[in-house]
Amino acid sequence: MHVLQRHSLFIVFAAALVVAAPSAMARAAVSSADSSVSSAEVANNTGTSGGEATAADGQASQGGTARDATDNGGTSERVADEADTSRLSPRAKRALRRRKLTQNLARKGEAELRKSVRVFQQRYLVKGGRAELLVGGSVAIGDPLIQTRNLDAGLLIHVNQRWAIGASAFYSFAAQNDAFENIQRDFGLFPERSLLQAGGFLEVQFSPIFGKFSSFGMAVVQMDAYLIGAVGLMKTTVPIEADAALQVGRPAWQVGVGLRIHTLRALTLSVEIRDMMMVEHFQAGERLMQHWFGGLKIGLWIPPTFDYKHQR
Amino acid sequence: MMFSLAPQPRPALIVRLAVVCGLIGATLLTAGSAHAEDDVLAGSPVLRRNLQYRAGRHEVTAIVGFTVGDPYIRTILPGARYDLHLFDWLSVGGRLQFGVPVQSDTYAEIDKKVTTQNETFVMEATSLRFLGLGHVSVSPLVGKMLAFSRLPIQFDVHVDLLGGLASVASTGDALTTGIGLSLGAAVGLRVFISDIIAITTDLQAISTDRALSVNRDSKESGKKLRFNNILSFGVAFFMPPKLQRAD
Repeated sequence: MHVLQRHSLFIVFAAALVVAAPSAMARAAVSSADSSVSSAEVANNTGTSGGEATAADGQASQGGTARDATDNGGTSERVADEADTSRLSPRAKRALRRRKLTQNLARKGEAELRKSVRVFQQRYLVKGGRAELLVGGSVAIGDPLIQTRNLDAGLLIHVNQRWAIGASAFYSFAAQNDAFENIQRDFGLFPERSLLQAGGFLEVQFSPIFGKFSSFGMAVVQMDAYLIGAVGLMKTTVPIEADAALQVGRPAWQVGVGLRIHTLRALTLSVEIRDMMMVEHFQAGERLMQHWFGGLKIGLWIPPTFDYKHQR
Repeated sequence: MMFSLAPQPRPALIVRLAVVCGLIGATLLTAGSAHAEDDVLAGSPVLRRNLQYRAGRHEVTAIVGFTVGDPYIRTILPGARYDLHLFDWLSVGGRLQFGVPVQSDTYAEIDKKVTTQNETFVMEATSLRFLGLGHVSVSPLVGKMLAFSRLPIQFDVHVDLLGGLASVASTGDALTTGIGLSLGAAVGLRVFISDIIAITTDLQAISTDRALSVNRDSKESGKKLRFNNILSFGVAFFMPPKLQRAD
């Protein structure tokens, strides 16, 4: 029994060697073919005649000869590899061919995968769910007779990336300018004045435009442009005795546009143009007043930091 | 109430523009250092291979301007502007604008009310007749925007230094008119709606030596160097149509 067992073990071992040897040889051949493929790919990437080398490789993998590879522009190394391949047994050649086909399929699959992958840049800033505390100033544009400077403050709650609601207020420093005084001095006329004193508004902002800019390649700064709509009250120097409610302030509304520049992660710089409108009650009658203001505001984000969530 | 007879100095728009430009410049410098701290690509160029919408191109713009803050006569200024863009950030050129005067309500009201007191009074005021100005324009801010998540827009903010001639006209004979040296500055926005067409808007302040109006004795009053604020809108056409790409 012992002899039989030893003989049977020997037979099994010998059979395993017979089976394993061709596949080991095939693996060695494949690894040399792989090195030629790599060199061809490198050549292809560097813009040399690698494209032709890859074509030769494709033909060789389908049973082409060393002559074929040379005719197709293969290198001397490839010719040597093909010569080695021609010395393989048919079984090793089949294994080599299967390996090459598998590699080609994997290469094509990766190329298709790369085509389907899209890269999404992370948002620089998340506005949704955060508050913005604003302070700044503005000056009246286009009023030929009155010069007005406003001290502005506001609080915005950004509902999402596009919409924000909030409140804003201003305190005015208004005075008649030299053109107004010229009218009094040169013509002896005394126009009735309506100087802004203060105002408060509830406002909505909509941001349809997002972008970025740079200055001489120094830095890229993110920004968004927004539209403003607001309703509220404005107080002026014109007294109204008839209606006590109007003493607090006249109903007013405003529209405007703005550009919010995201400087630091916690700070913004906003440039705005607003048209504040109200009906003024002059002695000569009621008149629609339009006050155009250009302003600059600094905003502080609350909270100053945020957790980024990927866009879906 | 006391009034000073001396002319009151009017804050120049240029000073305000300089303050705004300074703030934006400081913002950019601050932003650059802030980005460098948390950017994994710190040290690499901020921009590469970007399309240059201005470099090496000619720009012809049809513009219409409106004076801002003129108490008696507002002027509409149609005209044209030309720019030769030497670089993406620098251009030289000039503009010609002709003034169309429009009397304001204040003009008509003064004419009516003063005439009731002085029958010989005729209201007169000055306006801009034409502007012929050369300029050097720098575009310090260049960027791109996406409107409504689908419409890409290129834009730039430019600052112009202006110099040339300005002509002053009058509605009567009592006021000094003529051509004089004019200096000024402007800040503008150029928005590209295609590779060759852009919408522009500019706010310029240019100096002229003029009196605004006569007084109740029909004599010239308050002639001095004044800055005229003009808000302009335009449509610009760029040639050649092909854009250059930066290194």
